[in-house]
Amino acid sequence: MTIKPQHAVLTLLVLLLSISAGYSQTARYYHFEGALSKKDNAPFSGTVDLEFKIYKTPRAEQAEWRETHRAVAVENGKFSVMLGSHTPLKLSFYEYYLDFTVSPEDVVTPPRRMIVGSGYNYRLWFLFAAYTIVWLAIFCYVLILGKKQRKISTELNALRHEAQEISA
Amino acid sequence: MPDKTRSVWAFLTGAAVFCAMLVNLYLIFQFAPTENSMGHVQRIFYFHVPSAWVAFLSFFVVFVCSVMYLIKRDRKYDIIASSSSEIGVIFATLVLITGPIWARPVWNTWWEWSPRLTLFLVLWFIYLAYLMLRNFVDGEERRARFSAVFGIAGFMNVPLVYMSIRLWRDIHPSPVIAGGEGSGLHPDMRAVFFFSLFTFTLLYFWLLGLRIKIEKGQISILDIKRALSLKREELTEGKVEI
Repeated sequence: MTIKPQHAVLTLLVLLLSISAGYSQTARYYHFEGALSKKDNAPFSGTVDLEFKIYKTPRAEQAEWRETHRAVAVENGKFSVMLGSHTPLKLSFYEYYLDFTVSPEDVVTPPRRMIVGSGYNYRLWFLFAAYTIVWLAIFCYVLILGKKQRKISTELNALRHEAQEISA
Repeated sequence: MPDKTRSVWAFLTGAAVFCAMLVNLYLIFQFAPTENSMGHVQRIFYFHVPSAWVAFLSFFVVFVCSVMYLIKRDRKYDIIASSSSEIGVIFATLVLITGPIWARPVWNTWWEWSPRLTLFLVLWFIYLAYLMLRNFVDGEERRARFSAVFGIAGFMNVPLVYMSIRLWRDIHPSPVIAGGEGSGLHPDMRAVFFFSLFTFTLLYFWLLGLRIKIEKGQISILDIKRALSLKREELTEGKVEI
């Protein structure tokens, strides 16, 4: 089998694209803990409906993602939800801004806040570097083998042709 | 095996390697659970360890073929050993690159002169020297004989590398497969790891097939060149006689 460079490059591209896809989708859930208070500043207790929205910038109007959590239990002002559990969360690991609206209306809606990935997210760059090096090395090697194969095949054909001419 | 059947097999193996790689990527980045203490960077494990496995497998093939060559003096064993050593060195290089990349965020250092790491580096140098030896020694039979002896002696380091984390205190983690009590992997991680091993093994055999074909091609070129030069000499002598 002869390996053509364009096939190898295409394969490499497919692999790199698939890693990009996997890399960008690693943040599938985000555990969010928040606090709610009533208009008189007293901690709220009860159940609330929360609509979460994620934005790229502090003042962006177009939300990148939204999800509603119904009947969330709030105890002494504290609640926690798993964002991404209803609508798939597809965020890369950079900063984002989270907004949420609360009903009932007597609960104070907190301002938009910045969220970041978990503490070890910077390590993703190491994973990405290692992955890229491995597959680039393998594909460069396959390309080199393919090139050598074609060179040998051409040389062999030329020599066989020469041998036939001499015999004739 | 006829050439056409061989080409079909090579194509099928190549296609299988490609499909297995894609599935492997999906499993590594989407299916395998995230490790608690290291986070996503632990996913380097799924190609760091299989690369080491392929390197060991390659050097084992070099060892077996070297022994077979010394017993039978058949050139095909030398061809396989030569091809396998090259692939082994490439995968050992990948181990030496991905290891420090993994170590930096986890151990907070790129390199430690621990027994496992040092012995693996020595192993890499041994097989690099093996490849250099093949380039520097003249005479096919002589080169094959020297390389076979070197290939056998060099392999002695492989069990030492494997056992080093069991024999001495080492910064390198203990084995997670067959590592005894307290070791082990989450079932999903184990499944992904074994699939990764399978994919890399398949990749090794595919690369070995390609490399052997090249080696055989180079030998055929030399043989034809020799035959042609003899033929030319015969023709020249014929002309002189006339």
